[in-house]
Amino acid sequence: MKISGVYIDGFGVFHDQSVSGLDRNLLLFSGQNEAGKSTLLGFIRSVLFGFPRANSKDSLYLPVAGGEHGGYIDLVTQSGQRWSVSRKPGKGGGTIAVTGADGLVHDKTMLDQLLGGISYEAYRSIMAFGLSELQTMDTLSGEHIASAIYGAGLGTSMMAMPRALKQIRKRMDDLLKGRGGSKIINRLTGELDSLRKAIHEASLQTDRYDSAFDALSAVEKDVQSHREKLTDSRRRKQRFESLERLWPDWIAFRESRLALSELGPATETFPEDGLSILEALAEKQDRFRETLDALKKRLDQLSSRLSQLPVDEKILSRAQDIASLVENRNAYLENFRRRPMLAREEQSLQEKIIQRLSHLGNDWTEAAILDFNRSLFTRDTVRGHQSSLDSLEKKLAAVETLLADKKAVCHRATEARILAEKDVAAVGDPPPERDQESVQRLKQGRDRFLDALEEYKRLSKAHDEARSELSRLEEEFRKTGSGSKWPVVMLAGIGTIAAGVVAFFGYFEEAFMVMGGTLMVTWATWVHRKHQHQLHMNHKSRLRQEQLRADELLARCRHLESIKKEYFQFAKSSGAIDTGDIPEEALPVAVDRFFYVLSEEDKKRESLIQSRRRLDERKSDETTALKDLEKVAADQEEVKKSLLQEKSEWTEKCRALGFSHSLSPATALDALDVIEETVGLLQQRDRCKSEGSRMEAELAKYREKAGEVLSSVGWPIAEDNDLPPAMNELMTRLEESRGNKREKDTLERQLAGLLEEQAEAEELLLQTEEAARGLIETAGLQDESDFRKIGRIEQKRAELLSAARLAEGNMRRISGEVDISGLKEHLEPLSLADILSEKETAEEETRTLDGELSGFYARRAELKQALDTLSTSDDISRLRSREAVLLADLAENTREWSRHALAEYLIHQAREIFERKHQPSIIKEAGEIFSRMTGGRYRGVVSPLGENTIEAVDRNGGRIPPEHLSRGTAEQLYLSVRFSYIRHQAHNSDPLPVIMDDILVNFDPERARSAAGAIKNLSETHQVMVFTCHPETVDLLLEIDPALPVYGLSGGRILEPDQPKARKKSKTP
Amino acid sequence: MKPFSFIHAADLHLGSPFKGVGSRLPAAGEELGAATYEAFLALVDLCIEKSVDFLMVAGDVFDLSDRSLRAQLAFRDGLARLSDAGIRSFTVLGNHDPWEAWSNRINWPEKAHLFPPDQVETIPVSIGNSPVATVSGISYRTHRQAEDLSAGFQAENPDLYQIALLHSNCGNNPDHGVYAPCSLDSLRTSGFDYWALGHVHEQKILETRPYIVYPGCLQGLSIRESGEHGCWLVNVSASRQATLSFQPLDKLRWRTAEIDIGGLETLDDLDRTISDTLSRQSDEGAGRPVIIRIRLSGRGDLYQPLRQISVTEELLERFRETGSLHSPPVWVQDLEIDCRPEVDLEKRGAMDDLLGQILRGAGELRASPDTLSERLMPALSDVYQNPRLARYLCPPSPSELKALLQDAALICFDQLESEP
Repeated sequence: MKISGVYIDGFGVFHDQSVSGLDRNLLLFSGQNEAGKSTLLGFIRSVLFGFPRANSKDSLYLPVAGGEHGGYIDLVTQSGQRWSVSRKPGKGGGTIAVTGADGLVHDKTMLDQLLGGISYEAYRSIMAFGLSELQTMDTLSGEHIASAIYGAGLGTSMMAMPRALKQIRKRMDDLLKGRGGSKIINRLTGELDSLRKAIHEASLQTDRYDSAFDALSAVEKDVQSHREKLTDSRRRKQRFESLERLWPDWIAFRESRLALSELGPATETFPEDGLSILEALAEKQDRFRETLDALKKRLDQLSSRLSQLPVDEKILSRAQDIASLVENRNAYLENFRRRPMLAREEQSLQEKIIQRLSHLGNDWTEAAILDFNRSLFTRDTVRGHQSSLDSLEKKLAAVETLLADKKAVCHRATEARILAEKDVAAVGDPPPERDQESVQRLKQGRDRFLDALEEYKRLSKAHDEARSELSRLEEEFRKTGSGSKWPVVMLAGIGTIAAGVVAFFGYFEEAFMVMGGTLMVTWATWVHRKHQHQLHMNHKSRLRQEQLRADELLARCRHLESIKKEYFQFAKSSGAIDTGDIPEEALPVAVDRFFYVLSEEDKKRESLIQSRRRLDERKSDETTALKDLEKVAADQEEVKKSLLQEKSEWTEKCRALGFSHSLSPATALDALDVIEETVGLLQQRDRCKSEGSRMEAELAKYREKAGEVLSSVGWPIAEDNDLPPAMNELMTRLEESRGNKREKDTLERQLAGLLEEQAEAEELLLQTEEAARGLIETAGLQDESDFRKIGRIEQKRAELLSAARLAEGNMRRISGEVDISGLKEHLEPLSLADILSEKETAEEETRTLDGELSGFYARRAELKQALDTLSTSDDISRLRSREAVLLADLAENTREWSRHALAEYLIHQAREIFERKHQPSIIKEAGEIFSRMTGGRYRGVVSPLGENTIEAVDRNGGRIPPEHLSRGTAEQLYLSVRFSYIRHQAHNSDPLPVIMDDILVNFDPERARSAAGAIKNLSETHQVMVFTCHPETVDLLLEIDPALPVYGLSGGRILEPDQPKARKKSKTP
Repeated sequence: MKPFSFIHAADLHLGSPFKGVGSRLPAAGEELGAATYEAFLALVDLCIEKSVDFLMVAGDVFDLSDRSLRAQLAFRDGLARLSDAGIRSFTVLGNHDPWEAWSNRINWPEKAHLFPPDQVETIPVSIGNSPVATVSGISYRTHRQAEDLSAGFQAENPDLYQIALLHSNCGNNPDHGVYAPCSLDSLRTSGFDYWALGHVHEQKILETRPYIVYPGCLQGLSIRESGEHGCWLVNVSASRQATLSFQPLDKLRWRTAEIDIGGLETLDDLDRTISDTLSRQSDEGAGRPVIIRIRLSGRGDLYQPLRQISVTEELLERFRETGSLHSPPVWVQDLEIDCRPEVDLEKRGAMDDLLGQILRGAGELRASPDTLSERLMPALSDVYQNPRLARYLCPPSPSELKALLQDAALICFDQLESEP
C-alpha cells in the first residue's frame, strides 16, 4: 500500500496544503529545521492511527496557521484500490471517515483492515520512526513487537527460562553469596570457624588436667608446712595475749600484797567479820522495835471498832421464819386483792346462766342442760337436713327460672323464622347466567385497545413528520445534484486546443504555460466537483435513512389499526354494545357500562343465596327451642316431689331431739349453740367458787404465822394490811444484825493474832540485844566503840587479802596454769610494753602465715574445682556434636547449592547450543542486513533466547550488547532489525508505507551509503518516504536513485519536486 | 584347663558426636550425647551380670581429635567397677586414642591393664591358681601406625588359650583407614586361638580357626552404621572350644526406610504410609529409640508436590512430631527425595526445545564419567575452590557428582516443564 496524496486542512504549521502523485516507491522530503518534516510525519501517523491524547507525550500539532485540525490521506493498495482516509477532531482520537472509490464511507474497521491490524505502537516504532525512536532499544521491546522479533514458536520452556534462571539464582544466592554473613552457607561457615577455635581450646583439657594435677600436689605440700608454722606462731601469740589480759590482775596482786604489809599484825581474838555482825544485830534491834510500835497502834484501832457493832439475837434466832414470811408476802397481798373480784365474777356467771335457761324455755333446767346429748352427731344430723332442704329449694328455683328462659327463646325463634320467610319473598327470582370467557377476554382486551389507540395517534403524528422531512430532503437532494463533468472536460479541451495552437506557432514555452494553467484550473474545478459530489452522496444517504424510517412507522400504524378493529368486532359480538355505529373513542365507555350491569347481576344472585341460607337456619333454631322447653318442665315436677319428702323427715327428727316440730333446721342449730354456751357458763361458775375457797385458806395461814413470829421477837401484832410492811422491817433488822455479827467475829480473830505477834517481837528484841553483848565480850572488849575501831582495821585486811586471792584466781584462769609461781617469776621482770611488743610480733607473723595459707587453700580449692570441672566437663562432646550438626547442615546446603549451580550450568549450556540452532528468522535476516550495512565488520545479530534483547555478533563470533556499541553502530543494528521486521510483516498483509525521519545522521559516510542501499532495497517492496534536513542525505539517495522525487518543505508548505533535469540545473552554479 | 569366659569389645568412641544429624533434629540431642557413655555402662553391667573372667577392649576408647577427659575418666571408672567386682580388663589403644593422647595422671584400677606401645606384651590369665590363657597386646604410640603390628605377636604358650588383642585393618579394607594393616593369612597362621580386633565398626567374624573377630563399635554413630551394635561374649570350654554370642548394647539404632510413591495418590496417602512405617520402626527398635532416614523413591502423582521445599519441610516436621510421640521414639533424621516424574525424561529429552536440549546435555555428561568432574567442577568453583569452605567440605565424588547432576536436571525439568 502506498500513500498517493495528502491534504492537510490544519496541522501544526500546515494549512490547506495538499500534495498528490505520491504513489511512488521511494520519495524524499527535504527541508530545513522547523520546515515541517516531523509535523508531516506526525500528520500521517495521526490520520492513520488517531490524534494523540491531550496527556500524551507526543506533540498534538494543533493548527497554528488556520484550518480545521486534520485532513485526509489518499491511499492506493497493492491491488490498485483507492481509498481516502480523513480525520477530524472528535472523540477517541478524532472522527474518521474511510471513503472508497465508489464514494461509500466506511468506519475504522476498514482502516484497520487496510493497515493489516498493525498497532499504533508497532507502526510508530518500526515503520514511521524518527531518530529518537531509532536510538533506543525500548521501541523494540513492546509486547507484540518483541514476540514477533525474539522468540515466538520456541516452545513453552523457552518462555519459562528467564524466570527459571532467576529462581535458580535466587535459591543459590539465598544459600551463598559473596562475603555476606546472612546467607545460610556463609553463616554456617562463620559459625564453624568459631566452633573450631572453641574445639581446639577444649581439646587441651587433658593437658590442663595433668598440669592441674601436678600443681595440686605441690600446693598440698605447701599447705602442710605452713600449717605447722602457723600453729607455732599462734601459740606464741596466744601466750602474749593472755599475759596482756592478766596484766591488770598481776598489778592488783602486787598492790594488795604491799598494802597488807603496811597494816601490821592482826588481832587474833577479833571474830571474823565481827564488825559486820555487830552492825547486823543493831539493825535487827531497830527493826523489832518499829514492829512493836505498829502492833500497838493496830490493837487500839480494833478495840474501838468492836465496841461500835450492836447484834439482836432474838431476831437472829427466827431468821428462817422471817425469810419465809418475807418471801410469801407478795402472794398474801395478791390473794388479799383478788378475793372480792372472784366473788363478783361468780355472781355475774350465775346471772348469765339463768338468762340462757329462760331463752330455751320453761322446761329447761341446769340438770336438763347437762343431760342433753351434745355430741357432734346431733349437730351433723341437723346440718344434713338443713343442707338437703336448702339444696332442693335452690334447685326448684333454678328450674323455674330456666323454664321461663326457654319459653322466651321459643318465642324469639318463631319471630325470626317469620322475618326470614319475608326476606326470601322480597328478593324475588335470580337473573340469567353470562359467558365468563367472553367477559374475561373483553376485560383483557380493553387496556390493549386503549394502548393501541394512544400509540396509533403518536405514530401517525411521527409518520406525518417523517413524510414532511422526506419531502424536504428530496428537495435538497435535487438541489445538490451529482454535478456534471462536462465543464472539466470542456476546460481541459479548450486549454489543450489553445496550447496546441500556441505550439503550432512555435511558442513552445508559452504553450507549456497555457497547458500548465489549463491543468491547474481543471484540477481546481475537479476538486470543487468532488466536494459537491461528496455532499450529494451524504444527502442521498440521509434520504434513504429517512425513507426507511417513514416506511417502518406506516407499517406499525397498520398493525395497530388491525388490533383496534378486532376488539371492536368482539365487543359487538359479545353484546357489550348494541350497534357498531358508535365512534372508537366511545367504545371503552360503552364497555365499562356493560361491566357495571354484569356486576349488579352478580350482587343480586349473591343476596338471594344468603337469604335462603338464613331461613333454613331460623327454622332449625325454632325446633331446637321447643324441645328444650319440654325437657325443663319435666325436671321441675321431679324437684317438687323430692322437697316434700325431705320436709316430712325433718319433722320427725325435731320430735326426737325435744324441740318443737315447727322448728326449722337453722333455728334448731341456734338452740344447740345456746345449750353449748350455757354448759360453758356453768363450768366457769364452778371454777370461780373453788378458787375463792382456796384463797381464804391461804390468807388465814399467813396471818397466823406472822402473829406468832412478831410476838416471839417482842414486836406488837399488826393488822391484815400492815402485815407485809412489818415483815419488811423485821427483815431489815435481821440483815443488820447478821452483818454486825460477821464483822465482830473477824475483828476478834485479828486481835488475837496481833497479840501473838507482839509477844514474839518482844522476845526477838531481847535475843538480839543479848547476842550483841556476847560478840563484844568474845573480842575481849567491853565497849562497843572499841569493838568498832578494831573491827574496821580487820575489815581492811580482809578486803586486801580477798583482792590478792581474786587476782591470783584470774591469773590462773587466764593463763590456764594451776601453779602460777612460775608465771609470777616470769612476770616480775617484765613490763606491759614488753608484752605488747612481743604480742604484736607474734600477731604479724600469724597474719602473714595465715594469709599465705589462705592463698594455698584457695589455690588448692581452685585446682580441685578445675580438676573436678575438667573431669566432668563435656564441652568437647557438646562442641563436637554442634560441629557435626553444622557440618551436616553445611553439607546439605552445599548439595542444595550445587544442584542449583549445575541446573544453571545445564541451562546455560543448552541455551548456547539452542541459540545457535534456533535464532528467529527476523533476527537472522536482520543479521544479514546489519552485516551488509557494516561492510562485514559484524557477522550478524543474535537474540539471547528468552530475553527480549539483541546482541551484535562481531566477525570473531563475540557478542556485544547494544549498549556497548557506538551510537551509530547501535542505530544501524536497530535499523537492520526494523527492516527485517518490515519485510516479514509484508508476508502477512499489504506492505505499509515506511517513513524515516533523518535517521542517517550518525552514520559514517560508508555506512550511510550502505544504509541508503538498504533503504533502496526496501523500497522495492514498500513505499519509503525519507525526511531529511541534510543535503548530504539528499545527495546520497540521489546518487543511488537519480530519479528520486525530492519534495521540498518550507514554511508550512509542501513543494512539488523539481524535475530531475531542472534539479540538475539548479545544482549547477 | 578350666573353662572361662570373656567379653570382646572395641571402638567405644566415648563422647563422639553423631554425624549427619543436622540441626533439624533437636529433640534427639540429649539422647545422642549420652548414648556412647550409656552403651559403655551397659558393657560393664553385662560383664558383671555374666560374671566373665575378663574384658578385652580393642582400641578407640575415645576420639583423638577430642582427647575428651570425661571419656578417659568414664572409662577408668567403668574399669574400676569391674576391678571392684573382681573382673580383669585388658585394653589396647588404637589410632583414635593412642598412648600419647591419654592423660598421664589417671590412676588405673588394680585389675585393669593397658598394653604399652612399642612392644607386644603378654599377660597370663589364671582362674583361681590355674593358668588358662594368655592375652598379648600392643597399643599405638601415635595416631599414625602404618606398620603391621601383628608381626610382633608371638604365640609361645600353646598349652594355654592364647588371645591376641590388636587395633588393626585386617585384610587392608579400603572402606576403612589404613592402620596397622595385616593380612588375614598371617593371623591365620600365627598360632593364636583368638584374634580380638578393633577398628572396623561393623561386627564381623573373618575366620573361625582361629577366631579372627571384629565386634564393631558399641554404638552406631551415623546412618551408615545402621543395625545392631554391641560386643561378643566368648565362652571357652575346658577343651578350648570357643562359643561366641553377640550381645547388642547400643542405646539407639539407625535405620533407613524406603517408600515407593508409585501407589500413592495424595499426600494423605503418603502421610498414612509413613505413619505406619514409623509405628513399625518403633516396634522393631527392640525398646530403643530409632533414628530413621525416610527415602521416597519411584514415580507417581506425588512427584510434583514433593519437589516443593515447603511441602517436604512441612511433611518432615509432621513426621518428626509423629515419630517423637512413639514410645520408644522414632526420630526422623531426614527425608530423602529420590522420586522421578511420570514423564520419561529420556523421551522428553528427544524433543527439540530448550528442555530437551538440557536433558540431552545432562545425559551426555552422565555418559562420560571420566570427564564429568573436569566439566562440572568449574560450575561449582564458588564453593569447592573457596578456601574458607574447603576446610569443611570434600569435593563430591564422581558418584555424588552424578547424583547432583540428576537432581539438577530434575530442577530444570520442574522449572521449565511445569510452567505454562
